[in-house]
Amino acid sequence: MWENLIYTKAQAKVKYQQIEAEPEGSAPSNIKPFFKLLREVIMKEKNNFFIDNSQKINSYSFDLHMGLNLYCVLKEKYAFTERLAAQDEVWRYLSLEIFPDLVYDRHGLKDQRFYKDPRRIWLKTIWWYIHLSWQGAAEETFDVLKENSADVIMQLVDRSGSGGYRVDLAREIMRQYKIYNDSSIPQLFRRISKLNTARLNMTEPNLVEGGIERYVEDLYSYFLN
Amino acid sequence: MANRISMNKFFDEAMEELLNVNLNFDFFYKEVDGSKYILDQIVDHEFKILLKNEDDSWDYAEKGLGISGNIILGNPSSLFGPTQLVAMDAELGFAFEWMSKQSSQRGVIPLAAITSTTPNNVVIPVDHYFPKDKLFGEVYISLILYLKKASRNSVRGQAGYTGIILGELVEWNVILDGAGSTFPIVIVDEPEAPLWYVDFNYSEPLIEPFDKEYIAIYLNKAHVAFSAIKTPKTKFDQSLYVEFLSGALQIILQNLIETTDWQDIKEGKNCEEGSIGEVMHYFLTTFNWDFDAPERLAVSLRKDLESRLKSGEL
Repeated sequence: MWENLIYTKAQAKVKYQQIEAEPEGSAPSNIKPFFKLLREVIMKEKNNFFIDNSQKINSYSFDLHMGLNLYCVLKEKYAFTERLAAQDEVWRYLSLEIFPDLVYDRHGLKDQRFYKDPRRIWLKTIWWYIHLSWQGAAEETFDVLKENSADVIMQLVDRSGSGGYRVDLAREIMRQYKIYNDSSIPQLFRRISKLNTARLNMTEPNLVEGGIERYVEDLYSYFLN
Repeated sequence: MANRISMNKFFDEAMEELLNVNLNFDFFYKEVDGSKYILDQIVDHEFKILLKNEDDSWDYAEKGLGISGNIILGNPSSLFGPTQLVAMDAELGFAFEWMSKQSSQRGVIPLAAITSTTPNNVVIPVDHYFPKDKLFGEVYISLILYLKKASRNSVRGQAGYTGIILGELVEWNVILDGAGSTFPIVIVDEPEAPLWYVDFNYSEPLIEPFDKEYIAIYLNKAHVAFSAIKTPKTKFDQSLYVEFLSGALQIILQNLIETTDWQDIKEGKNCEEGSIGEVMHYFLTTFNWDFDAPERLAVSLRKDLESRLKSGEL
């Protein structure tokens, strides 16, 4: 199913115009059977999130909750892979054909969040945020991410670096951020992200003596000592 | 353009000659039972490698891709010494570095290490397999040399930090999906739509790849004339095909001419590898298309495509 999915930008544009014309009626009426379970699980999780009345949709905790659930159901029930996650076509399809109402509720009528800007498609962003932070299991990943903010999502997902993400490096940065986050250094994540980008011009973390763990320790210790 | 000032020596041609390096590599795939099959390599005009097996059945998405072979170093100790790439007590490593913008990922795979005592003519076997669920589109794979262990007696001009990449011995740009640098034609099935149309979604043509995500020529299989374009058989079909392709190309080129980047594209300046700008610059400098006025471009495009069709190039 995934490999045969064709959903061009032109198709996405047409679909988005329909949503724009009638945003309140954007819930899909006829989704392919393959995606029914996915929609069911994710929409249920959306409702679960709001059981606590104080929760807001326009929040980091909503993005984290939805990202983690999307990641887990795609991984466990849909054999979703990095190869698929790299294809904007997949995210356009999910955003406009399976979850248009969800994306609309979260971001309103912003075409870049549905399909237009590959770096801003919301479902894609929250999936990669979880993937780049994954600690082997959902609970551990949630534990590492729960205290963060929307700025961390932006710093992590936007700063892919030239040529793409170094997935293992990103995961280690997130693991250690949990340890050092309570320090008194303001904007620590933003700072280490910038330092990392600069150092990557010269050094390959996986080839450093002591490996990625040591490389990341050095990034944090630059600001902490 | 950013300039980089080197604070230490890097692996250069003179060192490569002294090292006397010999590389033998093959791309291969594995069947479910583990048996290995070598893939043939076809290099296109942009030096991108297209891989195929005998019956053209290999598909990265189903089988994955491997690279294996060996590095033979005639004189590895030539890299070590007070005036050489690194000091006598340092350690150098070889690694595969892979980078795939379309997969949003990159990585390195350490392979082997050498020291000043590594014997001459040492053979280093290397082997790596990319699983089918990892990559998409294209991947750059290079064999790199890096500082694995720094010297205790650091000398000015020699790399002092481990993990620094000191040089590249070879690089491959492998196409995993698609046919490489052909026109980004997307087949759609839209009963209400015309036979073909063009869609633009690029904003930085000097950076963004010449890819259907940014520029696409849509060909509609629901249209009655689709088969004439897809597999032109008669002279009439061929004329229609030339009309289709020249019309689409003209729209793409006119659109680019109107951008502020056109001067750079014309001069081939600041264009990233594989970008829309780079491919268009190749067209500009390779074919005799006349860009002075839209009507002259239309005539020259048709003339050129028709002659290519006659000579069997299209």
